[in-house]
Amino acid sequence: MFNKFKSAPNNAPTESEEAADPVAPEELVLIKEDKEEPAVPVAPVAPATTTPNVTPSATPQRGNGMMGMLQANVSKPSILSEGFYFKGELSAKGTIHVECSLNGQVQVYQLTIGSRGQVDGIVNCKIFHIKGRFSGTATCEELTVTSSATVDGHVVYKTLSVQKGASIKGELLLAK
Amino acid sequence: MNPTTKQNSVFIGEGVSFKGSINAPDEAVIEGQFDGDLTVSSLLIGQTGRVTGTIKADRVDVKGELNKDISSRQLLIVRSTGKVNGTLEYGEIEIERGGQVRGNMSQL
Repeated sequence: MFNKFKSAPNNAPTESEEAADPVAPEELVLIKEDKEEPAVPVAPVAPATTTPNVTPSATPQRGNGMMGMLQANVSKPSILSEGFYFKGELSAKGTIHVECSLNGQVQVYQLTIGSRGQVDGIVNCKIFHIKGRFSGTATCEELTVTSSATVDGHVVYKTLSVQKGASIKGELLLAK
Repeated sequence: MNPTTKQNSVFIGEGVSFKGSINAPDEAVIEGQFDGDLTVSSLLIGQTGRVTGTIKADRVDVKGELNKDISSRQLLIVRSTGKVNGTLEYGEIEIERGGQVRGNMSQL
């Protein structure tokens, strides 16, 4: 192609471009048709009145795929890795794993502070797992403090377990 | 183990209520009710035990209820049936799942 451009006069390339251009769209059209083809037979299979139903049925499938993705994401934790510093408000429906320094308000379903993690602020969650350092105010249902943890502050919980070696300073309150 | 025959130890059985102060060099096992000051090396509160007062011990193992000021110089263990209310001072702490702790905590 480049050789042609170089050797041929100005008009020739335009022709070749024109020639080339239509080819590409045709190919695209062909591809599009190919894509549409499977959809076309699907519609005829169903009665004429149900053609609108075909598209909804197709979209929910996509939707399910997305939901599947979302559900998969919910079970996987969002990880804030070491070396990261976050200041502000954080809220999520899933799990957050903190190995970094976090300062501010956190509202999640499950919060795990890793052994190198440090959280300072107000935490509101259902399951709270502390391996690192926490200071501030926390409200949770299930609190687990492992041996490497340091807790300083006010924690309201429903069920609690503390491993030997953990350091807890401050107030622990049982929610009713 | 029969704690009643142990030297330097005290055992308060279930149904027994005691008010006053105890100073035991070794062990105190409380299955009944205790109200007052308790200075002991090792304190074990059974499931039916209830202790209220100022407690000073090296090791505390709580299966029952423990209230008011608690100072456990070495290890404080709260079992799953244990309930602790009050001001806590401890060297090391372990709380089993289900154990209840309410109050101010500080590490020695």
